[in-house]
Amino acid sequence: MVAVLVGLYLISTIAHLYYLLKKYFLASAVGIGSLICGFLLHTAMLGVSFSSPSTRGWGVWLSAFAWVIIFLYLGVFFRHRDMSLGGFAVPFGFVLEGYASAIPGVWGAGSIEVQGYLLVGHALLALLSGASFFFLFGFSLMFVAQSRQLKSKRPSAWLHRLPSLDVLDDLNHKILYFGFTFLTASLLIGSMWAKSTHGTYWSLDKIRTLPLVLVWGAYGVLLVCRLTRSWKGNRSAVFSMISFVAVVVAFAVHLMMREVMS
Amino acid sequence: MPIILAGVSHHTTPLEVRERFYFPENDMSEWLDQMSQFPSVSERVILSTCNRVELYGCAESYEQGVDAIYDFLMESRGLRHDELAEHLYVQRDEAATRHLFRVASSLDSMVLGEPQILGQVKEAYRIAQEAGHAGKTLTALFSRAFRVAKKVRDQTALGKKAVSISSVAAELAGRIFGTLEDKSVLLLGAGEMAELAARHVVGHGAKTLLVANRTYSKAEALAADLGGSAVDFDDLAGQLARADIIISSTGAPHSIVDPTMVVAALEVRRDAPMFLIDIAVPRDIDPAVGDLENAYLYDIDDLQSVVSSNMKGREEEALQALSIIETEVESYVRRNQMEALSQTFSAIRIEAEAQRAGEVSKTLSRLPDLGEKEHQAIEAMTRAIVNKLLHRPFDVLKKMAEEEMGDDSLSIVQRLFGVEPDDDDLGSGKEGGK
Repeated sequence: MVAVLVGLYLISTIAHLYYLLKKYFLASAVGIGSLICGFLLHTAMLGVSFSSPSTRGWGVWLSAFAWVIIFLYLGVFFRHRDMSLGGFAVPFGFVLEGYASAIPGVWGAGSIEVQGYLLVGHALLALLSGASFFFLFGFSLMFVAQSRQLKSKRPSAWLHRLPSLDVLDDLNHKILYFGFTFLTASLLIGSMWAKSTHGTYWSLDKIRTLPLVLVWGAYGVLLVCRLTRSWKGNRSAVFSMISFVAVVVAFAVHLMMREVMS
Repeated sequence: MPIILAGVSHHTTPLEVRERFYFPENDMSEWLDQMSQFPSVSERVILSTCNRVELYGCAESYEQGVDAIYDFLMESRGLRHDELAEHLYVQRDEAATRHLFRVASSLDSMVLGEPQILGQVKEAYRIAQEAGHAGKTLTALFSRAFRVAKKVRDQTALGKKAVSISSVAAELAGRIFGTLEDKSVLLLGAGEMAELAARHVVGHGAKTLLVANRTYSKAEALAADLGGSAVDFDDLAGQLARADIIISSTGAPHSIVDPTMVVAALEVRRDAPMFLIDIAVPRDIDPAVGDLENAYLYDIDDLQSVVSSNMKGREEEALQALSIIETEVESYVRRNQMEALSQTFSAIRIEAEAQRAGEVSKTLSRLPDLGEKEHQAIEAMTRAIVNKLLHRPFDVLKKMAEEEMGDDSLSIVQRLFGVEPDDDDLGSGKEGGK
């Protein structure tokens, strides 16, 4: 089943990239069709895995992250009927799922079990915020690319392949709002879990704390500037892309520390 | 039954000749009725637009069909035979099919990919069909042409890129704002091209149109014409902040919009993007405005460059469209051949069975002593002989049709077996005369 799932995401990835380059309608049908099939299969597999604590390993959580990416992309697709975002969301989902599936015993008993409602809630919200910031990065990248196309005065075919600036800016605003809310809620619930388990609200070391604070601070500043100083367009997009670097660093540090401590 | 196309178009004939071929659309069913007085053409559709006049028909004999079309054009349009011979292009079957597919897909249009032609072809067919002039053959041909045109539109970007200054302006505005429905347009000056661009943008749903002119009465007149409102030209800096799209075409000898004014406008607009279209020569908007964040400035050369690039893009897309059409023509012609062959096989079988049954009946009547069992054996044996005799020719004909077989080959086979079709057999719809 895992091979089928990864295969479906691979087909969808190829079709999305081909569509992005050629705008061939058959590629769009194949891309979305295979993605929906893969997503349904993925949902069923995750449902089975999450039904038992013994199968909620690290790989399953990584796979759940891929699931959230695909879920959000499908949401954007059905809302705007635009496949350009899929050009990078689907390949990312595929790589993530491929990596998760390659972890030994991913769909069996894992090395790290996430138990208890607080920790599950914390992890789910962290996944949602991570996926939101990933999408924010994607939309911002597309905004900057589209803006450069228009500024160049010699726009290429990409002008028609990317959504309009207005749509991208609107998506940026919404996804930032959701991403920041998810991250804040995730940190709060994580603290409650730490208090109930370790007797302190913050049990992470400084190395892991700093990137997290940076992520929360960067997106917080961006949100405040958008709401109060009406940051729009290019400036907001560039700031979002820089902030995403902090997300990647935070994620990498967590991975490294997990390896060191295990 | 051969499909015949005869026509003139902007590719082959100058306007002063083309207009003499023109059939007014309002009287089209009468023209079709008149054409039906020439019975050699059994179905007919007339496509008459400003760029082409084409008559599609089908006839038992290609030569007779062409003669009938000549006679109809001489009678109805008062054209001489030598004029028709000079200007009219005549095509049949595969070439005519290919031509119609190209026309419907807008590959034969003056502006590649323009969308109106498909509607005009559909309308021409609809009139003919409702008046009873389009039968089975032309209905199949035109229905396929519409499907091919849709396929070309779906699978290529042939008609997607704008190829006029005003439509490019509207297209670029769309790439900035998405929908123009809640957007405001400020028109500066009253240049003809700027007015056209403003009409285009308003036509795409822009909510508000403001018109500013040094002469206020002129601004009022233009605003009334375009359904907008006149604003004070002296308060240009204030008006800029109200507009998402600024189209400028004044006769000013120097810039009337500078970066400071746009920066102030962007501040008031809380960084909401502005699209500035400067069609004036000399330019109305300082080029440095284009360097400002969230301000997108295009002058006439920039727009012209996009038009040229889009035209080139359409030509590239046309190559892909031509390849789709070739595949479709081949499939359509092959399907028609196979259908005609299948009808011929049926006719041959019926004829052979009639001959066999007649001969068996004669023979059995001369052999009264034979019993039921013997009768059945003779029936079975003669059927087997007929089947065996027909098997090889049918097999060879099928293989020929799969490779390439012209109507002439089929016609020879039909003559050999004595099964030449009449109108009823091959069902080409309406009979000749009305």
